[in-house]
Amino acid sequence: MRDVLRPSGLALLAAVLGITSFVAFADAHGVVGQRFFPATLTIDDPFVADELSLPTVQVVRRKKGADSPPTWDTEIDAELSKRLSRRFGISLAGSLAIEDPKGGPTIAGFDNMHVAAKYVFIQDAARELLVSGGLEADVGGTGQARVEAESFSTLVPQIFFGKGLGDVPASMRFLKPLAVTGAIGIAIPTKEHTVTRTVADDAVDVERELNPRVLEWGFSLQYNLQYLQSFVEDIGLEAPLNRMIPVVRVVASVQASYGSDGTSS
Amino acid sequence: MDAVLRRVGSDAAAVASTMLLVVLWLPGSAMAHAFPDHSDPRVGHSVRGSPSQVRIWFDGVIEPVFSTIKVEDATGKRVDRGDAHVDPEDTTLLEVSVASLPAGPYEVEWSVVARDGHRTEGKFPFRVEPP
Repeated sequence: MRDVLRPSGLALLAAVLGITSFVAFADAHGVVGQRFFPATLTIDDPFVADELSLPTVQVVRRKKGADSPPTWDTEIDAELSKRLSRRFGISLAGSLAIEDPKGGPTIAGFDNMHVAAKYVFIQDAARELLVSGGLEADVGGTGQARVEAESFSTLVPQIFFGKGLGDVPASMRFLKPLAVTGAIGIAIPTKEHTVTRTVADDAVDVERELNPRVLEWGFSLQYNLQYLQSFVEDIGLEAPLNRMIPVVRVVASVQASYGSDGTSS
Repeated sequence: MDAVLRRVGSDAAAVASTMLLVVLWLPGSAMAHAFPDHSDPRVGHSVRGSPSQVRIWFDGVIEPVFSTIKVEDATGKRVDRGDAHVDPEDTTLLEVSVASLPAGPYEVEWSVVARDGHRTEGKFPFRVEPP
């Protein structure tokens, strides 16, 4: 019955694409005072926006594990964000995962759908400061099991921030184009353990796998050449250099809870 | 401190692919609003003798009714003639005339609305040197 009710990843993506037809004039935001915070791909933005990200492609080579060959993981994401007020916004995201193990068949399927809400608590133009909070949910059972989409949901309360250095003294004017954005949150699975039962040789093996809480954090450092040219000092950069924002990003996650993993018979 | 660092997103392939997308996408995102392309006097530069006007060229068409520019001296006193306007021949150009400016630092403050309806604002310094 559950399989009948489960929406397919394809249907979800189609829904995302359908909704986008109503937001043809949506554009990027992230401007606070004279600071433009660009959207970054792996760290969620501190601002709310009317925005369509389609597609976002990430390719990662996973190293050989104890039980798995080296694998190319490709993830193709689509996300629609919509502001409901100046400070409050929601988003809906879908993801197509493709796993290509060395010497094995390629597996493709849709991962769980993500929904999120965000509220901007602080928006200070003079200090080029943004602080927001949000809640993201990985909705269990909406993806496909062949790409290991979880059957349970995971909730991620998060804090986001963005700070430009436009308020440093004039003597340090070449630091003014610098900005940092970041996010920190904790992923809380709604199911502490996943229990798998298998019957073999008239015995029932019960395997309990821990679904840990995971602390997720990341930040980006940005040097805005447009800011330098337009607000600090025109150093003679021509297009397209005068519109570029070099970005360095660091993303990490730390397992924050432990419990009993194990197998019993 | 039992926590274990499980994953650091430093994989070269991921960084390469996403950085490429960032570079390709950022200019488009920023262009949704109007930002200065260049100005006269140039941002952060000195000019010898007083300019007769301050002009900023934007990277997109701006709305004349909602676009302003003013010039202040180091004390915050307004020194422009209050005739800020968008050039009817070039709707990316915002300009204002100024009185004869003595040597010293000045600040230009502007606010414009682009054709997409979004406001951007900013300020920049320049300096007048004796002729």
